[in-house]
Amino acid sequence: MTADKSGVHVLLVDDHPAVRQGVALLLAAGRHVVRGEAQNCQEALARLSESPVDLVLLDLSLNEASGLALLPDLEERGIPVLVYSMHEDPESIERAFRFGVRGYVTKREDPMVLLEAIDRVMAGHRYLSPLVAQQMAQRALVSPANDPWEVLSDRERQILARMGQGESSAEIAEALAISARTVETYCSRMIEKMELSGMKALRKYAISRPR
Amino acid sequence: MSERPLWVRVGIVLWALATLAASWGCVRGKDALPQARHGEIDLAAYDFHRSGPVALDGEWAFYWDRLLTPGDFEAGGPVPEKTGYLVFPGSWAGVAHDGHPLPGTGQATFLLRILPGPRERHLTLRLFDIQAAYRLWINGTFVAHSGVVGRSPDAEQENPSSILASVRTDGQPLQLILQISNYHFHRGGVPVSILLGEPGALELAHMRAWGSGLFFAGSLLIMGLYHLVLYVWRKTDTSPLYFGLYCLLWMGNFITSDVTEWVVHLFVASSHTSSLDKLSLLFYIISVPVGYRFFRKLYPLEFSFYVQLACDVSAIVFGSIAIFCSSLFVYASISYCYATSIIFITYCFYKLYRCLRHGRDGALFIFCGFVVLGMVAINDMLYHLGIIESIYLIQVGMFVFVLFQALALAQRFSHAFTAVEGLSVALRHNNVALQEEIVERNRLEREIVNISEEERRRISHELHDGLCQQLTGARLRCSVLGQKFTNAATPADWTLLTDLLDASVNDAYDLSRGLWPVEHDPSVPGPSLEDLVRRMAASSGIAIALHQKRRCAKCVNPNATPLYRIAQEALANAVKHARAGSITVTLCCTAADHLELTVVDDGVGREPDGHPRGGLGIGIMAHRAKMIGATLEIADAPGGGTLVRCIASCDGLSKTTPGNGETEASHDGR
Repeated sequence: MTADKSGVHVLLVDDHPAVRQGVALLLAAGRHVVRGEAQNCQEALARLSESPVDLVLLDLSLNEASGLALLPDLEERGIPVLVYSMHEDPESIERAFRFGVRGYVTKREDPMVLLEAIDRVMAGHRYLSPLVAQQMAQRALVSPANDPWEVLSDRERQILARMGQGESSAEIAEALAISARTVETYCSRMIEKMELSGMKALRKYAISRPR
Repeated sequence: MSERPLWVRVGIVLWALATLAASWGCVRGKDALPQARHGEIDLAAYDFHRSGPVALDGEWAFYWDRLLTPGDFEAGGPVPEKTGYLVFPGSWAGVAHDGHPLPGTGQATFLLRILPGPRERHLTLRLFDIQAAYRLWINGTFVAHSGVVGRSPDAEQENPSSILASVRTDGQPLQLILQISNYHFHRGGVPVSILLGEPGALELAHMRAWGSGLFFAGSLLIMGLYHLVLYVWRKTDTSPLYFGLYCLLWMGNFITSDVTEWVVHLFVASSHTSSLDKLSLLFYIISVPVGYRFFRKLYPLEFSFYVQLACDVSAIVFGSIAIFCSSLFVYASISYCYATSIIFITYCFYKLYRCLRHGRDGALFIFCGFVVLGMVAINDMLYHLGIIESIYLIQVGMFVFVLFQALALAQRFSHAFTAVEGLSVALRHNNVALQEEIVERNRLEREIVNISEEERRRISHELHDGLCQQLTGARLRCSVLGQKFTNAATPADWTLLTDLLDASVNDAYDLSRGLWPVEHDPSVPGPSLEDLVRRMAASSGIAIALHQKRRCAKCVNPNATPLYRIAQEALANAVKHARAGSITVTLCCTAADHLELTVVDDGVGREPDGHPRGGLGIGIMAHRAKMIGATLEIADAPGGGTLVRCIASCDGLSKTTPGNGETEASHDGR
C-alpha cells in the first residue's frame, strides 16, 4: 500500500466529532485524503475493510476502550499508526510506543505539527511531537516508579490479573488461547522481573494487588 | 413505691393499731382478782400455782409522816393511829389529811395483813420501781430495802429498783410493814403493784424482762451500728447516721431504764439507780431531735426546719434540767417534756402521712413503723405519768419501727440496684451505639473524601475528554482557516483567536491535570506521584527530586492516594511559602510494612513560633493523615527548610481505599 504522491490516505479514529472534523479540514488543507472516520475500534475495522488507507490517525481514548486495541490488527495489515491524543503523561506515551505506534502527537501541539508528523511517519521515521519529547525528557528528572507492576508487559499483566482472580495456569492458557507451558514461561519471567522469591510469592502478589 | 390505694395503706396502719390495742386489752383484762380491803388481803382461796403471782393492790393501812417499825406494832404497846387507807398502786400526793392535801414528798409507813391460806410454803415478793427509799418487814423480820430512808432530802437516798424478797408462810397471817420516804420524786407512794407469787414465777418474769431487754437492745445495737457503717461508707447521705444514733440512744435508754428492769446491772454493779434513771432520761431527750433529723433528711420537703429548731431547743432545755436540777424538779418537769414529745410525735404523724400521700420513697414503711412507735411512746409516757394504767411497750414499738425502717432501706437498696442495673444496661447500649456511630462517622468521612476524590476525577475527565477535545477541534479549524490567509497578511483577529484557543486548551488541560492526573493506562488507576512532581517542577521551575521504593504489593497508586494528596499540599506549601531552591520527595515502603512519605525543602523553614507556613494546607494534611491512621510530622529539615513526614501502614492504606472494583469500572469508562 503506497501513498499517493498528492497526499496520504488517512483513517481518522477519534470519538470526538469536533476533533475529527477539525482534523479532516486540516488534512484536506495539507492535501491529504481522509478515507474514513471512525469513533471506535469496530467502526475503524469496518472502514479499513471498505477502503485501504496509508495511515491511521488514532486517539487513545475511544469511549469505553483504548485505541491501542486496534494495534495488532493494524500491525497485521502493515498500516502505520500515528497517535493523536490529549494524553501527555510519559506512561501513556511509552505504552503506545510499546504497542508499536510510529508517532505520537498531543492535541495541544500546534496543528501544523500534525501535518509534519504525518510526513515524517510516512517517510518511515518515528515521530515524537515537541511536547511529547519534553515530557519524556522531564521524566528523566524523576526516578522511575518502583511499583513492580510497572515493569510488566501487557500480556504479563493480563496473566497476573487472571491469576489474581484465582484462575489456574490451565484456565488462563485456555482463556488466552495459549499453551499452559507459555503461561508458565510468562510467570517465571514475571518472577525474575519483579525480583520475587518464587511462584508462591507471585500468586500472593497477584491476589493482594488491588484490581 | 408501688401504686397501692390509700385505703390499703390506712388499713395496714389500723391493723397495726388494733394489734397494739389488743395487746393492751390483754393486760388490762384481768379483773376479779383479790383486792386488799382495810389493810387486809385474803389469799386463802387464791391458787398461786394456777393463776400466777398476785398483785397486793388495794387498801393498805397508811401512817402519814411516820416511820414505824415492827416494834411499834408489838402486842401490848400503844397501837399507832393510822391516817387512813391508801390504794396501791398509788401515791399519797393530793390525799386529803386534816382538811389539806398531802404533798408529794415526805415519809409514811404502810401496813398490810395477808391471809395466805393454811398451807405452809415459800413465796416471793416483788417490789419494783418505787421511786423512793423503802424498808420492808414481814412478821417483824427485816426482809428488803432500797436506798436509805430518811426524813429530809439530804438524809434520804432514793433508788428505784427491782427487788425480790423471799417470804415463808406457815398458814398464819403475814404482816407487811413498809416504810417509804420520798424527797426526790414528786408523787410519793407505790406507783407499781407489789407482787406475791410462788418461787420461780417472779424470778422467771425478771429473767424474761432482762432477756427481752437484751434482745431488743441487741437488735437496736446491730441496726444502729449497721446504719453508722452505711454512713461511713457513703457520707453524702446523713439519714443513716441519724437513724444509727437514734437506735443507739434508744438502746442506751432501754438498758438503763425500768422497762428492762435495769438490765445494765448484768454488766455494771448495781449502785445508785437514780443516776441511771437520769441517764436513761437523757438518752430519751436527745433521741427526739436526732429522730426528727432522720425524718427531715429523708423528706426535707415535708419536715420543717423550724420544728427541728424547736426539737433542739426542747432537748437543750430538758437535757439541762435532767443534768443540773434536783430529781424532784426533773420528775416534776417530765410531764412537760412528754407533752412536747407528744406534740412532735403528732406533727411527725401528720407529715409522714403527707409523705405517704405524695408517694415519697419508702414513706409507707416509715409511716407504719412510726405510727406503732408513736402510739406506744404516747402509751408509755401516759403510763409513766400515772395517767393511764398500762405496761411499757416502747421496746416492742421501737423494734417494729426499726423493722419497718429495715424494710424501707431494703426497698431503697433494691430500687437502687435495679436502677443501677438499668443504667448499666443503658450505658452498655449507649457505648455500643456510640462506637457504632464513631465507626459510621469515620466511614462517612472516608466516604466524603472518596466522593471528593471521585468528583475531582470526574470533573478532570469531563475537562480532559470533553472541553479539551472541543477546543482541539476549534484550534484545528482555526488553523485551517489561518492557512487561507497565507498569501495575505494574517489578520490580527485570527492571531488573537488562535492565541485565545491555545491558552484555553492549556488552561483546561492544566486544570484537568491539577484536579486528577489523568493516566491513560487503566492499570494505573490512582494518581501518580511522578506526574505530580513533574508538573510541580515544570510549573514552579524548582528542581524537585523524587525517590521511590515501593516493594510491597499494597503500596500501589490507588492506595497511596491520601499520601499523594498530602504530598500535593506539602509541595504546594514548599513552592508557595518556603522560597525553596530544591525539594526532595521520597516515598518509601519500609521493612515494617509502612509507607513513608517525606517532602523536604531547603527554604526558609517554619515560622519563628514553630508553626509551619501554609495555614489551611497543614490542617488538611493532618486531617488526611488522621483518616488513614497515619502519623504526620512537620519539623525543621536538617540544614534549614521544612520537613513533612507522613508514615502510614500499608494495611491501613489498602483498607481506607474504596472498593477497587468501582475504581476500575470508572477508569475503564474513560
